Amino acid sequence: MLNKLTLQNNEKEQIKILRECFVRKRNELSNRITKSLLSMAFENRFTLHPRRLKELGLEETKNYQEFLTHLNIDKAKQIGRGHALEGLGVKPLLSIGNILRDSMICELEPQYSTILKLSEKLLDTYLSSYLLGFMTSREDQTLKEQEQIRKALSTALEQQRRELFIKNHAIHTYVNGIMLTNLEGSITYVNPAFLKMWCYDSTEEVFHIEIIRFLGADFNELMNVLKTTGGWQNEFTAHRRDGSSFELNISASLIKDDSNEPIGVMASFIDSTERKRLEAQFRQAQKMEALGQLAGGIVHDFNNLLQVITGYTSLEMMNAPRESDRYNNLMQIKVATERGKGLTEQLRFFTRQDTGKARTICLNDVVNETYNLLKRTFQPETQIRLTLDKDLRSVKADPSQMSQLLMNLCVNARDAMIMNKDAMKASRPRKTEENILTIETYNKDIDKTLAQLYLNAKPGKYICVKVSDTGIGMRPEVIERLFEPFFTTKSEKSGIGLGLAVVYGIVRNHNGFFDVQSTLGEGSSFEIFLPIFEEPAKKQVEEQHKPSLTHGKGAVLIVDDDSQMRELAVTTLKQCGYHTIVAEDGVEALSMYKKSKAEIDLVILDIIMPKMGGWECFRKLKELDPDIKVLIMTGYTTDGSVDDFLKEGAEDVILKPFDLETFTNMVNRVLKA
Amino acid sequence: MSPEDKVRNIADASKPNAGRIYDYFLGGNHNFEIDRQAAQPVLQASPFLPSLLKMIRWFLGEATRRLCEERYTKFLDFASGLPTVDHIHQVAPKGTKVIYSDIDPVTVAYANDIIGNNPNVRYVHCDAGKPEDLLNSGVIEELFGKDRKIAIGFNGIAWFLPDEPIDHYMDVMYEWAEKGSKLFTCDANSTGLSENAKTIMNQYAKFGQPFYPRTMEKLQELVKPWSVTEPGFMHLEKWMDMENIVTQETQDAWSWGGIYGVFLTK
Repeated sequence: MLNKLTLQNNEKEQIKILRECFVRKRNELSNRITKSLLSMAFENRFTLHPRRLKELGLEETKNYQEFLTHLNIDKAKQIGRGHALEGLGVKPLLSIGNILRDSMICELEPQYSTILKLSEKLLDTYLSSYLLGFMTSREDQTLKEQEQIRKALSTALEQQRRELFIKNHAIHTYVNGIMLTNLEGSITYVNPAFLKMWCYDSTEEVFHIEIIRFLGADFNELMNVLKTTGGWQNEFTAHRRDGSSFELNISASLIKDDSNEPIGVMASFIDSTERKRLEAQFRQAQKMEALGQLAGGIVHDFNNLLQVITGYTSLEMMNAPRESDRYNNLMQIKVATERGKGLTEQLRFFTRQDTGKARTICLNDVVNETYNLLKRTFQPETQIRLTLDKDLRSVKADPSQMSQLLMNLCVNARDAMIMNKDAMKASRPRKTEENILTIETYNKDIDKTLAQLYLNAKPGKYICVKVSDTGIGMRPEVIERLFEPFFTTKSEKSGIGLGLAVVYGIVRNHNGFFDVQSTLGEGSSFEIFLPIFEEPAKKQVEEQHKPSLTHGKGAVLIVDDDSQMRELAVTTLKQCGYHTIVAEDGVEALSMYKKSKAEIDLVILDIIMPKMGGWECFRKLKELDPDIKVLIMTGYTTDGSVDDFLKEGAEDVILKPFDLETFTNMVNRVLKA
Repeated sequence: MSPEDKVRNIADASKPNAGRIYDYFLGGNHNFEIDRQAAQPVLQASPFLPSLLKMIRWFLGEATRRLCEERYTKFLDFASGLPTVDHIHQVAPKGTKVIYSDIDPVTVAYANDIIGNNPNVRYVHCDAGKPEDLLNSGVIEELFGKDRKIAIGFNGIAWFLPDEPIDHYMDVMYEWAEKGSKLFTCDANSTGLSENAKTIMNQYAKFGQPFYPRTMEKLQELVKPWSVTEPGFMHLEKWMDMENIVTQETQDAWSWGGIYGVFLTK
């Protein structure tokens, strides 16, 4: 219900006159109000546009005229409220009231004196209601705006709290170590990554430790640098609580307050051990690449030179009397060039860009063969342990290269354990006195993260063969040069420094990668990773190579202590039409040859055997029958004895592991010769 | 200053804040006693300042009225401040679509409170120096559809930005807007600016809002490739048909060219 002003009876008549009077004054009144409002434009709030003031003059006049008609007090209040919301200032408002009062009371013509009282009453009611609405609205508006800023304040505080929480959480969960200190160098905070990095269980433990231990430098020096440059960095080998060491990279900066005044220091700790290792590996790979290219060029040119030297030496030897000094001298040149050829052959391994005769193999087979050979050739004091994964996946590799790779690693491992043992003991005590050589194989999936840890590694499925020893270990500077051709720590007689260069070449040529770990006094381990090779089963059947064996005739005496090897040779040769006889060692072979000399056309002789080895057996067989045909069959030799067999009249040498085609072809060729 | 720092700054009642002092000069209630105290020396040195700031605000209303009369029905406004009763969507005829923007997240939050669920109005966060952030957002197409012939507000912000972002803003907006679009802006003419005025500006800058006064020639260069619409650069009172009181006062006190507004067209 509207709040209306009630008039007395006599006033009802008077108001009609008042309205008439107002209508006459309306235009003048409107102009006066507009003019006044425009002159006070800046007294209003910014929200009230000057253009609106022109409308407001007329509007105010209409409003009062409406009031005179309806006497609606609430409407007057509403008008006041509306103007307050628009931004009408108090001064302009009062000026509107004054103009109305002047016009309707002070400037009223004498004939309207009877309505003066009523005019005064109505004007007071109108203006007081108008003012009440205005003031209430202004108050509401002020309260609303202040509420808004309170809300802004609380939102900002909430946001600040959230921001602080995020920052705290970020520091707390940051993967690198974070340390905060005050300006005196006392630690005030460390994050969990810091505790883990340094092997501490709680922050309280850290607070009691001298800061120099963590910074690797004096705190005052750090502050001096920070004050001048704003940043400080340090790299050093740090020691954890448990005594282990790691490479540390620290960056520190000043923490400043709002006035840009320093209030503390924040230091970030990064364990750079892996990064440094990778950098070293990368440098080494670049070096090896360069060495490989260099070696490749040398091998080519050097072989040409050797060929010329050998050729002319042979020509000269043909013209020289056999027993003459000249002949002997030429022979020395020839022997030297042959040794030179041997060296270039090994260097070729290092530089070769192909994988030899690669085929799908299980590396466990190669490890087993190598193991059989090692246990016979290594001193008994070297224990050889095998830990082979029976589910090892296949790789595509040249078995003979794999065999050489393993042999080179194992021989090095053995040498690390027994070479100059006494001298090493005196200078660098070993953790264990036992010589344990371990060969392990296992499958390994290399993901993106792991791949980053190894040089040349790509994510994928690999097999790994790991050769570990309990030797004296290697110094970092030795590890750095480990794979360089002709780099050796052995005596001149024991090695020329090509063993690991060959390993490097073989691994790279098989798209593999490796990792070397060594601790002085504890031993070394070489992990060789080779990508697995999975042939689709069907395709494998289709493409399976059917061996084409060479058939022939004759009787063959097979001498080998390995029963499986004997059996394989017998089966194969029988299949090809040969008659076979077997002997387990040299003694038995001699005995059988003596008995059946006329029937035996060829002896296939293993070198390393119990009771009587191949060499002794070979000499004695030759004594019995200088024309005897002997084919030497061996797994591996490092001492050049194979050449000696050939020099002494052996027909040929076949290296294990061999394929049966080569084997039967060679037997046939030797028998036909 | 990052948005977080700005929020912290606005809410920090222990230190005077440039935004809150500006509000006080305009006669608002979004300020604290510390702001009112900090404003006094500035007011004493330059008593005309509140009137000057009001005129800048009124130029927005003036521009809106003029552009609405020219039948522009879509407005894109930068550095809008709080959309109070005098703002575009209040002044423009019903159905006019308006996108407001401001760099201050608190203003954006409360502006959205004020607007409520008005289907023709949006209020988003945007740095006026990087208009592409707003142009590339989905809000434009959502409210304006494919129409790019629009009215653009860049009012009361130019002196708070260095030359480079203004140059960037004008280029980006020109590239984006359709032919026939209009842009209104105002700036101060710093030619001959007195040392006294510079001191006052530096004093205000300490509260977190630096000034970048420039000559009219410089602004004319920066607004290119937009074309200046007749009658060109005019003092704000002229645009609103008011007596030339405030500009004269400021020119007398600061020896500069006063504040002028301009309409630009593509």
